[in-house]
Amino acid sequence: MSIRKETTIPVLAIVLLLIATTSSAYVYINQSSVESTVGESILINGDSFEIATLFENVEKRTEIVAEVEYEGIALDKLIEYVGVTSPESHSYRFVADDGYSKTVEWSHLSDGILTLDQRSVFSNLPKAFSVRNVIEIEVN
Amino acid sequence: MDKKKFVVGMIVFGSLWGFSECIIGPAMGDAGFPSGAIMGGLFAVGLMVLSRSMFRQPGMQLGMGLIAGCMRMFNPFGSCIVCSAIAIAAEAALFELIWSAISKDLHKSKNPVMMVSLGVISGYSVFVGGYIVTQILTPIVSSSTFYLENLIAFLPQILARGTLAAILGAIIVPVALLMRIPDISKVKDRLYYPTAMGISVISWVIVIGNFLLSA
Repeated sequence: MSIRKETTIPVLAIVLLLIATTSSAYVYINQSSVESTVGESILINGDSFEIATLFENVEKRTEIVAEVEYEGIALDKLIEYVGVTSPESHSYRFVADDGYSKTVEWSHLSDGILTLDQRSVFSNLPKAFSVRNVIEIEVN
Repeated sequence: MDKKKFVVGMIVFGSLWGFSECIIGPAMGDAGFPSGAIMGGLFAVGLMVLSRSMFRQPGMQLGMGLIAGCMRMFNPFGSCIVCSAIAIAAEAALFELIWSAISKDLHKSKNPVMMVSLGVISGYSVFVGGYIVTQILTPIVSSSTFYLENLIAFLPQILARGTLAAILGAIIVPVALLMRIPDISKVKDRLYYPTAMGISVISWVIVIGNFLLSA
């Protein structure tokens, strides 16, 4: 094995470990500073809404994903309820409290719900679109 | 190296990888373990390093990834089956790239620092690479649109989650490289083929059986 490789490989490993630990620290600090509103409220198109109020006023629906039944408020009805104009012309970004986010189109919302524990569930999309602990729905 | 032995070896290791992705991974996920990092850093890297040191044939791990990816198509659970299958193949391709570039003659050196370093590089790259590929492909394959902002926002999480895969890689690579491995070319055919094919068939039967029972 060449001397160059004997130096490069450990250095590369150290660099990757530094990236991993720095990212871990960044995620930890970021999560500590972000106040999770799960169970209380959700930010939709810049406005905050009480979860309890939404569940009292928005039509509920059941969606079945991988043989598991989920119940929650219909996402298309939720968007209409919060007063988004021309909802079909927008895309919707679901943001979790850990930074995970997924963007969907209006057509996907007709088969989507938001559960009481603030999880987005879509029967017409892969499970990766099921965002847990949704704290914000951005309307773009 | 006998080509027939090489292909059978690729099938058996690919089947074991696929079995671990379809059966062990979901079971660990259900039990609350970080299955992604364990599957990438421990099982995928471990099986690829073991097969690499047994057969010493570049390209074998890519073939294993394709076989494991095919088997993954039979897994009824998970987010996007096609994406997961492609992600496994991408993990194998990444491993091939890394090992072709920096470790051609590693088996000659049993330097612990080198083996641990290569484990960190392999475990971290395979996990992070596979994860990113899945994040890009899932929206595309599911007739949705890929939004770069979603990936960028989640990138620190992906890079952070790779820490465990890097640690596991640092453990499994030296273990796999230091294992006493029989010389495949000297293993008798009447022992090699039935054993290899038996392991492969059992892996496929369990995965397909699980698929049929869950469907």
